[in-house]
Amino acid sequence: MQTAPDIQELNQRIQYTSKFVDRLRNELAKVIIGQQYMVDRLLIGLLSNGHVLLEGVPGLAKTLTIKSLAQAVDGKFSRIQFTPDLLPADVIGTMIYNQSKNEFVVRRGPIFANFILADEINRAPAKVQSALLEAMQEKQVTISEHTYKLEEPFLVLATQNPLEQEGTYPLPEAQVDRFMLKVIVGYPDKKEEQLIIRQQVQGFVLPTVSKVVTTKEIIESRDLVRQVYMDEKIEQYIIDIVFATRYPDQYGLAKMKNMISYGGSPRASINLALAAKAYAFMNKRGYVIPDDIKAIAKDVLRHRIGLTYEAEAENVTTEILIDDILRTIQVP
Amino acid sequence: MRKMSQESRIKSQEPRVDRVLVIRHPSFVIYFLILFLTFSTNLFSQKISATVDRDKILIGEQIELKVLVTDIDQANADISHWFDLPDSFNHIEVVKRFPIDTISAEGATNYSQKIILTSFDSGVWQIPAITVSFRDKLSINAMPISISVLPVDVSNLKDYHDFKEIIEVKPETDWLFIGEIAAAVIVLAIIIFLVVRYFRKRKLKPKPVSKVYSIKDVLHQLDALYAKGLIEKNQHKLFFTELIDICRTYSDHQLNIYSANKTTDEYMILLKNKIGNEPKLIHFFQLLQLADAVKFAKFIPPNTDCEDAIFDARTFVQTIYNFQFTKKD
Repeated sequence: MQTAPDIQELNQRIQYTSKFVDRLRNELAKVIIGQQYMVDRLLIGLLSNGHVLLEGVPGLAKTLTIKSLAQAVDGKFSRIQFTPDLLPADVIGTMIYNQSKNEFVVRRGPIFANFILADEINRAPAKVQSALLEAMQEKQVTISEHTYKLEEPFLVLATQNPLEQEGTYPLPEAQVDRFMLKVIVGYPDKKEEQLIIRQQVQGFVLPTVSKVVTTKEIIESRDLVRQVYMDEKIEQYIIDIVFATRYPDQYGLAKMKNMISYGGSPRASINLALAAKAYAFMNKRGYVIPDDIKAIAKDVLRHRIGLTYEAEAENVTTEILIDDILRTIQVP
Repeated sequence: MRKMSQESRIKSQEPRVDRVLVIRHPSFVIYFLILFLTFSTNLFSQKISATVDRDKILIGEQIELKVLVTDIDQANADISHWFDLPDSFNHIEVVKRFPIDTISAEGATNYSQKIILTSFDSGVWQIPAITVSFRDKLSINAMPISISVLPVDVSNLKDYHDFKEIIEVKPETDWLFIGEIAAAVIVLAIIIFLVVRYFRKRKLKPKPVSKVYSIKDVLHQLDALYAKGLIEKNQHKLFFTELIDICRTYSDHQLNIYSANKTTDEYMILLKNKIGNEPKLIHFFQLLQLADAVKFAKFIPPNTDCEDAIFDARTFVQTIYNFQFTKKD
């Protein structure tokens, strides 16, 4: 159990260690205009060892952000464009025959990298999605008879296009649950858009992203993130939020009962706690406060709540439900 | 005794002589013969009749044919074959056949059947003789019936007319009914209002944590909290939790806000929006952050900070009170 001096000492360590977060943000800001929300969520995923699902229309710099993040962290980056004819072997690798040696050798797939961009993950059939999601969960890949550990940090950043749903393979609920965060990438504001135009049209050479943090630092920071102190009251607050998604009537949200087909799983509680710790770390705090929970609640829960037909008919989204829950649950 | 027996013999022989005399009377014999012949020939003499209700119809009009067979000895000579009219015969069509009625009367049986007929061809058409056979090989026939079917004169028929235009009927205003509806709606609205108010009251009931409304009570509560000596007992977390609760409850009531679901940052924004950039609030905001550190990070502030916390809370309460006071003016 952490004592007051432990937390103070941790607080100081975090204030010192988390400086790289600002460096990372600044470095990414060189090439990415706006999208601070998305960048912060990617950093939360990076620091709490959780994968991130990005959803947004094309052209919102999702790929550029992830690529730049990989460059800034000095990690190996690979991009997999998911298509309907993609095979699991195209993702994880396969055995190929070496004629000169007269033997089969392993050819590793693009999943053997630190940062994987699974572009338009819902365009590939279920077996390919499963291959990727299994690797995400187990952090290892089996090719033929050999099992290979994936190198840390291993972060999958998948994108989904909310438009053009025809011919797609929506991720099953159980597999979406494996993503720690589902981030909705929004449009930039007017000022940001003006800057983007200037940057892209006036022929300026895009600045290159420099390496500002090592993978070792990231792995060490992950340990610190786990040590961030979470008070019992905060834990209770998380439990209340997740339970309200399961049993809304017990929290004075009876009208929501017909809107929710299933609520957040225990994985939702775990990820909410982990992401809140990472958020506190990014804000240079060694302890979690209710603001951290509220800040990331939507990203953790939006893909973990099932809507009923009634909710869909009334255009009620999971975001609306989460807002209602956060408005109702008493803050400690 | 002998006399008596003779008398009785004479008496008994007398009527015998009379009977013989009666039977042997010629008129009586003739009467019996007539009676016998009448009974033997008329008792079960089957008859058939076929009648129509009218014998002149226009094309398509219907007539009713009634066939009646009477005086049938059902025990010895029942019908073995009832007549059978085809559906269409001799320009005449059968529209409907009623079932055969059986009527028993005085030991004899009567059968009757009604048949509705029509014809769509003009002319004189004949319903053939209707034949009924009996078990004793006897058969009887009804007389054929002629029907005259007359054509319809269509030269005087009027042309078809289109449907008439819809005539708008002016609705009659039923003021009594409208009054009843209005009264029902008003009663319903009152019921709904009362139910909603009841449930709202029920919902709102648990929200207020404290019943403190006046500044005097709040300041007294703050003094009482300090007097509890929680700091000396190292119960900093409890002290700051209660301190912030008192302040939030008072501001909620005075500013008509609900801050129980607000984090510290959200609460500060809410206060700023309500009161504006009041410099005195800065100390209270610092107090809120300190309370967060105590509540969520086990931070133990020095005792002087705890005394300052009470002072900042009192200042905050006074600020809210002054704000409300000046607003009312």
